[in-house]
Parts: sequence; C-alpha cells; structure tokens
Amino acid sequence: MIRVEQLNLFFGERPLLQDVSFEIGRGQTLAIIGEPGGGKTSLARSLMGLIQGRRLAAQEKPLPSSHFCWSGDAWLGEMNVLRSSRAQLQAMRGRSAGLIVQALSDALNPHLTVLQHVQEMLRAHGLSERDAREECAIGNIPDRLLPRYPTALSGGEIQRVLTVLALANSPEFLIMDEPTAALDSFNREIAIRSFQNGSEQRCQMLITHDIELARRLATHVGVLRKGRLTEIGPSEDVLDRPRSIYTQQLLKLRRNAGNPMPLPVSSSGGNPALEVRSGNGLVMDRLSHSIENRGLLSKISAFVPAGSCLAILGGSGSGKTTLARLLSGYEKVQEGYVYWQNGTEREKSVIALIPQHPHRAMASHFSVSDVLKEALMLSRGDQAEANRLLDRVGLPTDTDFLNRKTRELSGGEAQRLVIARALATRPQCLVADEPTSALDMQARSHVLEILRGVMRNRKMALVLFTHDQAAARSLADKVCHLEQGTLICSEAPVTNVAS
Amino acid sequence: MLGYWSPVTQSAGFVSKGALAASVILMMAGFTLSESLPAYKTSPDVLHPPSAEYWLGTNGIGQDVFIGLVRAAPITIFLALVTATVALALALAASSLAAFGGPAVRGAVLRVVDVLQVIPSILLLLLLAAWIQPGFLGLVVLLALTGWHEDVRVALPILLRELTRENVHFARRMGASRTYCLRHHILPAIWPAIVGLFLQNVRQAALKSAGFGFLGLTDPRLLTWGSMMQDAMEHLYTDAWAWLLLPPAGALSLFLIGILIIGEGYSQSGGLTGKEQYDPG
Amino acid sequence: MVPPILINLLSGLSVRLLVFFLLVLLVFFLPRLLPGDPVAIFLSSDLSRDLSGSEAEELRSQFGVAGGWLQQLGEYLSNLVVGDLGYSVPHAAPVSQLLKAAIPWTLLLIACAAPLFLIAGAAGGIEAGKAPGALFDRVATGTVTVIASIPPFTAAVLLLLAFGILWPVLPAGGAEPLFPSDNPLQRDFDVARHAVLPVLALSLHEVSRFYFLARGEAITLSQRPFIINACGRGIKGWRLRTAYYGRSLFPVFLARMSDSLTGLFGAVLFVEIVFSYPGTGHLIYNAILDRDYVLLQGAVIVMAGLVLLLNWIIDAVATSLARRG
Repeated sequence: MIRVEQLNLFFGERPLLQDVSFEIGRGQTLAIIGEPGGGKTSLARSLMGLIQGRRLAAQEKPLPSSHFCWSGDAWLGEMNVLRSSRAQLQAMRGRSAGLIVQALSDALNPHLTVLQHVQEMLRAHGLSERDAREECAIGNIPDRLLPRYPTALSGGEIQRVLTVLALANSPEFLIMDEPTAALDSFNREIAIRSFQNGSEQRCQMLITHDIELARRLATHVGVLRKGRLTEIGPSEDVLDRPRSIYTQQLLKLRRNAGNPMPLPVSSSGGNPALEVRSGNGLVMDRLSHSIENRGLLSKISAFVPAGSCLAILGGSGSGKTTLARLLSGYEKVQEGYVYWQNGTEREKSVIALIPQHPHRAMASHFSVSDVLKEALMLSRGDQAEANRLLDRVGLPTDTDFLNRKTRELSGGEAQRLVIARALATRPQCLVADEPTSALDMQARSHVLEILRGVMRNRKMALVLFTHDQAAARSLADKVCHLEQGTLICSEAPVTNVAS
Repeated sequence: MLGYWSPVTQSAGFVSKGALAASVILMMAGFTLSESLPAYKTSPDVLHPPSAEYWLGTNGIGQDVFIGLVRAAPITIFLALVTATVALALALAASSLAAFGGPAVRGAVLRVVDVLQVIPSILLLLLLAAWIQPGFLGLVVLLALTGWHEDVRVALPILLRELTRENVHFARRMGASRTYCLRHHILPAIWPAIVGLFLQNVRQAALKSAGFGFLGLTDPRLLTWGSMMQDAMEHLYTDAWAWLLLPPAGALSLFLIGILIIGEGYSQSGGLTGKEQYDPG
Repeated sequence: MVPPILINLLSGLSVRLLVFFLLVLLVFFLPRLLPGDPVAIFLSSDLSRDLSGSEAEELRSQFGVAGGWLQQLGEYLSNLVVGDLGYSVPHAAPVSQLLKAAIPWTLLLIACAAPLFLIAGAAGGIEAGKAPGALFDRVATGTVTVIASIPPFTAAVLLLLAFGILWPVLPAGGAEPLFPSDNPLQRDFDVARHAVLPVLALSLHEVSRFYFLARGEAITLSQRPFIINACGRGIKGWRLRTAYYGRSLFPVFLARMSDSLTGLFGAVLFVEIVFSYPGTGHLIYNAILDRDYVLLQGAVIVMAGLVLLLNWIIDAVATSLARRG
C-alpha cells in the first residue's frame, strides 16, 4: 500500500506541501482534488522520488534557496521513497510504480518516435520479448502513429502513449496526474476503463481537477488546498456531503464550469452594428486588425454603456488579447475607431488595461509605492491618493508593504495593485484581459468583487475578456463571443467554451 | 522632478558602482605603488634565482620579476577594463540602434553582427598587430572593435524583451517620454545583464591581450603579464622557467578566476542565465 | 525534391563568399594604408642588406607593390584565383607550397582534439547539470573554472614542462622525429606520440566552453517534463544520458561550435607555437618574426577561408537539424 506520513515539502522557504498524511490500500484509488498551484503535481513527483533536493534534518528550518527540501515519509509498499538511494528509486520506477502525467506538448522525447518510446520502455525493463506494436494496439494507438515524432501527435495521442508506457509493466502502484485532461470523450472512456481494469490489484492515486473523473475512479477523495489536506474520506462522503466550506466552494465552482447556465445576452441579436447607442459609453467602431497579413479581427463593433460590463468570451488564439491591447492603446489601431461617447460628443477614450499576468505588467524592480506614484505622476494626480487607492482594492497601506518589490507580491496582491494603478489614471473604462485566470479561488472572487464595485460606483464601462463562464456570469450585463475574428452576440444560450 | 526614485536606481546600481569604485581605487593604488618601486631596469644579474634581493628572481636581461609583476598589474587590469568598457559601449549603442530604429535598421545591425561572427578576427588581429605593434591604445581599439558584436547577440534580445513589457507600454501610453522609460524602467531591469556582459568582456580582453603580449606582438615598451610570460619561452629547458613563467601566469589566472566568481555571484542574483552567457571560457 | 541541407548550404554560401571577398580586400589594402611599405619594412629588418635600386625594384614587384593600386589589385586577385599566393623570401619557397605542407598538421590537431573536448565537455556537463550542487558538480565545475582561467598558452607551456621536459615521457616539440622512420606503422606511431601533448593542450582550453554549455542546458533539461517523465518510467544510465540529454544538446553544441571556430583556430595557433608544431600557426608566428608579410597575408587568407568553410558546413547542418526539431 501507499502510505504518506507528515510529508512537508519546501521550495526554498516556500512551503508546497504541509503535513500531508494518507494511506491507500490495495484495490483503492485516492483522488486528490484542488485548485491549480495547490501542490498536487509536487505530491505526485514526491511519491515517485522525482524531486531533487535534500531531506531536512530534525528541527531544521528550510532556508531561502532554489532547491527543494522535505521532511516526513512516503512508503510505496516496503520502500520509503523519501529515504531511498538513487539506485533503489531507479529500480522501483517503471517497474513496481508507474506515473501518468498530463499530455503537455513536452511530455515525450521530441527525438524519439512512438514505437521507439515503447520499445525503449520494454528494453529498459527486460521485456524485450514482448511486441511493442501489440502494446500499442491495446492502448488504442493505431499503426499509422507508430513512426511519428511527438510534434506530429495531438494531445490525446500523446496521452495514450503515456498511458501505454506507464501500464506496460503492470505496476503495483499507479500515480496519475490529470491523466484524461487531453482526451476526447471516446478515448477518455478507453483510458478510464484501462485504469479500472486490474485496479483491485493496484494502489492508485489520481490527481485531478475533474470532479466527474474522481467520482468514477476514486474510492477515496482528498482535498488539497495550499499544500494542506483539508478533507479526506470515502468519495461519496467528500463529494456529496463535503464538510469544509472550501470543498463546498470548489465543488460548486466546478459544477458551474461543467454545466453552463444561460447568460444575459444582447437584446439586439446578431448584428451589433445596428445597436442603439445612447448616453455615455465606450464605442468600438468596425475595428479590424491583422498581424503579418493574417487577419485576426474583422469589423468588431460594440457599445459599452458607462456603469455596465460587456464580457467577451473566446478560446485561446481567438484574438482576445489583441483586441484588449487595441482598446487600451498598447497596439496601434489599424482600421476602425475606438472612442468614448459623451452624450452626442466623441471624446478620446481613457482606458486602463488589467492584464492576465499582473507581474509582467509592472517593472519588477519597482516597489508598491513606486508603481502608484508613477501612475499618479503621469496622470497628474494627487500623490496623497496612493493610500486611498490601496484601501479601495483591499491592500495594506503600512510602510512595510509599500516598500515591497512587485516581484515579491502574490498573484492576487499583484492583480489588485494593477487595478489600483489603473484606477489612479482615472479611466472612463477598464479593459480586463483574463484578470482571474492566474489566481486562486479566493483571490479570484476578491478581484471580481473589486471590479464590480468600481464599475457600479464609479460609473465605469468594463470590458471583460475571459474564458471563465462563472466570472462572466457574475459581472456581465451582456455577453459576446469572439470567434474567428468576429464578435457574435447571439440570443442562443452560451455553449461551453471553457476547456 | 523624480526625486523619490533615487532609492530604486541606487539599489540596482549599488553593487556595480561599488565594484567600479573599488577597481579604480585599486588601480590608482597600483599605479602609485609601482611608481614608488625601483625602476624595472636591466642589471648584470641575469637569470638570478629568487633570493632576498630579487624576490622572484630576474629575467634574461636582469630585470627584477617581482617589480615587473607589480608594475604590470595595473596596466594589465586597466587595459582589460578599458577594452571591456569600449566594447560594451559599442555593443549597447548598436543594440539600441537596432531596438529603436525600426525593422530595416535592426536587420542591418543583425547582418553586420552575423558577418563579424564569421570573420576569423584573430587572424586579422595577428596581421594588424604584426604590422603596427600596438601599444595601450592600439590594443584597446583592436580588441574592442573585434569583440563588441558578441555582446549584441546577448544584449539585443534582453533589450527587446524589456521594451515590449507591459509596464513600458503603460508608461508610454500615460505620456511618459522615451528617456523616462529608459531611465526608470529599462535600464534598472537590464542592469544586471549589462554588468554580466561587462565582466565577460573583461575576461575576454584580458585573455586576448595576454595572448598578444605572449606572442611579442605588442609594443615592447608596454609591460603586461602576457609580455612577461614571453620571457619564459626561451628558458623552458633551464630552471629559470619556474620564476619567469609561474608568477605572471598565476597572477593572470587569479585575476580571471576572480572575475569569473564575481560574474557567478551576479548571474545568481538575477543577471545573465547560463544560456545567455555566450562564452564562459 | 532538393534535400533541405542543400538549400541551407546554398543560402549560407553567398554571405560567406562576400565576407571572404571583403577579407581579401582588407588583407590587400591594409598594408598599403599603413605607414611604410612592405619593402621598406623588410629592408629595415634584421635581414636587410645593401640593395641596388634595380634589386629593390625587383623585390617590389615580388611583393606585388609595384605599379598603381588598381593594377596591383587586379594582379593580386588573378594570382589568387589560380592559387598563387606569392613567394616567401625567407623560406625560399612559394607560399602555397608552405601552406600545403602546414595545413594537414593543423587539421590533424583539430580533428583529434574536437571529439575529445566535445565528448568530455558533454559528458561532464550533463553529469553536473543533472544534479546541480551535488558533489560531482561542485568538484567538476570548480576544476573547469580553474582550467578556464588559465590562458591557453600557459596551459600548453605547463603541459610541455610536465610531460616533455621535467618527466620526459612524450616528445616536447615537432610533429615527427628528425628522421622519420621508413616503416609506415612506426611512422604513424611517432606522429601520434608527437600529437598527444598539443591535442591535450588544445582540448583543455576548449573543454570549458562546452562543459559550461552542456551543464547549463542539462540544468534546464532536467526541469523539462519529458526528462522527468522518462525518469519516472525508469529510463536511466547510458540511455538517459544519450537519447535524452545528449540528443537534445546536439543542436546547441553545433551552434556553439560554428560560433567558436575562430577561438579554436586562435588556440591552435598558440599551441603550435609552444610545441613548435609545424602547422599553420607555427608558420604564421615565424612569418611574424621574420617579417615575411607575403607569407603572413597568404596564410591569413587561406586560414580565413578554411574557417569560413568549416563554419559554413556546420551552420548548414545545424540549421537543418533545428528545422527538424
């Protein structure tokens, strides 16, 4: 069985896992669910002994460095992976323990074909008598894929190869880190069946944010939050009768993401150019943009009244970020107009951008007060305003915090500081480009709250670019889709664009 | 107008300014010290082994090796520092030209760098050095002119990356001038990389100038550790090599190691990453 | 269909031909722009003797400095095209003949040293970069740091002293014994013995470049998912180092090799001088000492051509590899 006792893992001083303990018996599958950045992948790697670093001595405190260090124990069967030698670990990996990871583009050796990967796996473990092609056939990898290099494979195909490789040696312990995220529903079924098949002989750990997958595979569920196991128990207890508030929130969020509900939609239907424009607001008038002769946006028109929010949904590569940069003046407008309509007058729009990665939006050598002072200086505002702005976004105003460098801020703090900086320029309109996608759940709701507040109280127009349906739902007065460079504001219920 | 900014730029530049001040002081001390020493003159005591009178022995024309070593130190180091500074200035000028000058200018600069990269500069240098026997200034000009292009390959991508960052976009959009952005956003951000490049240049310049001295291609009046090593070449088959070769070679190696260690410390504190260091050797 | 490597070769050729032509012009004009002419310098040198006016004129035409510049250039270029690089007075032989004898020795040193420093650099760098901060990394990186800080000629001199003079197990100079053996096997053995120290000195100088490169890359590679996954599958030892780390290092190594060819040829020059090895470096050094500018010009042009040629081939291979991914 797999047994983890009081596992603590640090990267430098930063704790990744704190006091994690659990047991997985033979025939059991433990699903670990939680948000991205909660330490799930580190947990999987720790169990395989794949973390480079050192063990902390008793009572030793971790020091700032760029290395991992840990304390506690993790047993795979008879072997304590956190105290074993390199040779023992190497003998265990791929033999008694298998690891399946999410199929990112870099998951396989770019210089080996699919067939070579499988042959290599068989040879490395003395299974040369077995036929690599047969192994592939079992995992639903057709012959035509065998001579391909990973760059020519889709995410789903890579995932199948990873699964075949991990299961080739019928491991006793199977550790899965988002094993189906890249699969279509057909291959997902095949994969789930292969994980169920023989699971009574294995100890399995499943790391996922896919509650549905956890429900189908897991006998037990643990909830990991900021490196701590907040709740663990039989899956029906945790998933259906969660005790902690965090688990309840998490389940609700996932459920919402899974089943889209109808959103407020445009009243004017599919032709935004005909929309009635009255009162104050931001006008986009037939914006077109192309990069290197490739058309990215074509004839985008919309009107966002002051004090309201237009949410623009779209997948990656749909031109969201380009449109956001056009609106905020970071990119030169090639064709069309952006302006602020004041009654019947046209004014130059004052728009501030709230970007996806707040750390990239501020100079890393600036302190918190530098950021605000610069914005106030450039917009000829009152320097004394700084503390009020920090207050408004819920950040502390003590000297210690004011002197912190922006690179030392957490994602949530940095995003709030960027909002404060945006407010310092007294804009008529805020453009937010995926403002919450890099944040954890708590920071996310906080940022959405702030955005809602400024929009309503200060009568600002807000353009929210996102793929987060829940965020769009909570803020938007109107929702449009950006698809293949055109803006579609349909009456039909919004389909699931979140992937 | 921007008085409140000084702490930021100061802390970023503190280490490098300190190091610069220290080397200038060291060099001045070196020059004064070597002035106060007896002259580096010939004497009848030819190839005298180390003794109380001649701490590190004498060379083939009776010059005291220790005095030579001390007198050559500030010249050798100063030569490397000046060369590195000139090369870096050239590289930064070319990089800025490429970064601000639009696609056509950038293409032209990159082309020139490409061409310089394939030119076997050492051979040209040899040809030139054989002809003009460069002194201090000549060496600086020759080494800087053939060494700056490698820095452009490192500096230009970093400069472009910083130029397109959103904080610069924000400041420009809010009406900040280019000079303002350069001073407050870009320069502090690329400063560690510049210092890293400078240290690499110092190493390169020290190695190359020592090579020319060793081959006897520099002005015979220019006393450097490299030219002192040339004295040893004729005496490899006698015992004299030990005191003729080892002191200048050791001093040069120590200097190079010192620069490398400072550079390591710098790259760990956010300067160049291993990939950007084009040539640690 | 044309193989991509051919396209790369063709596209790289034009820029190098241009560079070579510029170099030839530079080598032609530099001496003429600098104060004094070669004949005057030659006459003022140690070799000078009393010359009559007609003798000096003859020498002038031998140096190719008689007549107007354009006429000189035309003559110079047409001679170059047929492989006539002039006549070396101190050696009493055509420059092309001298170079033909010297180049193979230089190439021999480079060809023997290149695999040595490439493999040693890659193996050491991978091992150190796999576990940065571990014992092996600290020892190896410390050693290489010291090696990298010894100027190439000093390392060569120290090797020469250690194994050629103080403990004379290997020949201290030259490429062959004074009287080469008639037995081809014995002769090969002698050549190999003479090459050991120069090759070692050259490799020592170049190894640090590739060690640091491999170490830096290996540290990055160790963080990449495909290597971590392979470790998780139990891929280890030789297979992990070659098929995973080594294979990924290959393009980076090629790119660095093409960039550092100039440095390599510079280092070989010092090594040949220290070991009196009869390659081009030695030839160039003697030409400098003898003020034999005809030979110096010819050698610089030919060596530059050689560097450009090698750099061209390596670049083309590297580009087609990079394109394949």
